Amino acid sequence: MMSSCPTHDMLQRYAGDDCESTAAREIETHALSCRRCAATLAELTGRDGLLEEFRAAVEQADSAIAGEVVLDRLQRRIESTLFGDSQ
Amino acid sequence: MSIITSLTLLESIRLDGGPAAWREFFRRYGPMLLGFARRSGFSEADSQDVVQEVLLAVHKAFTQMESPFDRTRGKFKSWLRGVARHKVQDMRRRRARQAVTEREASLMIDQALLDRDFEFEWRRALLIDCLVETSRQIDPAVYQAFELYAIRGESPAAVAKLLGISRNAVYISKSRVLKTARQVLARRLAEEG
Repeated sequence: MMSSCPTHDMLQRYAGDDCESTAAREIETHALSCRRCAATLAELTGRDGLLEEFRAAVEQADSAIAGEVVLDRLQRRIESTLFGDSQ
Repeated sequence: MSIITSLTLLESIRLDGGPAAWREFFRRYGPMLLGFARRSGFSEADSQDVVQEVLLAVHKAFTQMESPFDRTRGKFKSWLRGVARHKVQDMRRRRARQAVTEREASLMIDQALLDRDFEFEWRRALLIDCLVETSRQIDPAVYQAFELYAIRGESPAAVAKLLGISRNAVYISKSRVLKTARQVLARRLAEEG
């Protein structure tokens, strides 16, 4: 167990998935009871490029839900061409 | 199930070619291909026609040829991209013949642009798939906290209250889930080749 806060460098490495699993677990356990470290981790990962990509992908997927009817119709149209109307 | 190439699925389409295998194939690739066609600047009707033509071409290739896609010769993604690009170019040629404005004619062809659009849609589908796989590997409450806080931008306090966890746990969920998601993505990219 960590008795004191991990260094900023350690938190940065954790956020960048660049620390071994035991150290990662210790940081997580520590941050559960340390508001400052938890907030720092959130801030560090907030600038993560991958997270930005995930956000954009989810946003697009959300708006695509409205297009499910279109996809469903298109799927049936293609199936009908491939396999006939019995499907 | 993965949206990105599964050799088992491709093989089942080749051997079976029936509606069930195709339904799965469409579920995986249809939305991505429709996104690609739309990005190419077509009307909704033309975009759907392009998707249909791509999938009919894929079906023909997989059911009539012994081995349309040879893993040793390249990635399925590259093969599909080639088919999709070809169909987009076909549609553009057809539309260009009917084009009355310079803008419409200018839609004729920038191959690099098409490849970029395909990559964009492929990557987006891959990211969604990674999130789905990640959500299955992570404690549901942790993943939910991540989605509400990190993806949908809810406040840590609101998420903590809603899920009955500490605010710190909400903060931590972001790095924990991202860490797993990054590993899932790295593996998927490695599998893709």
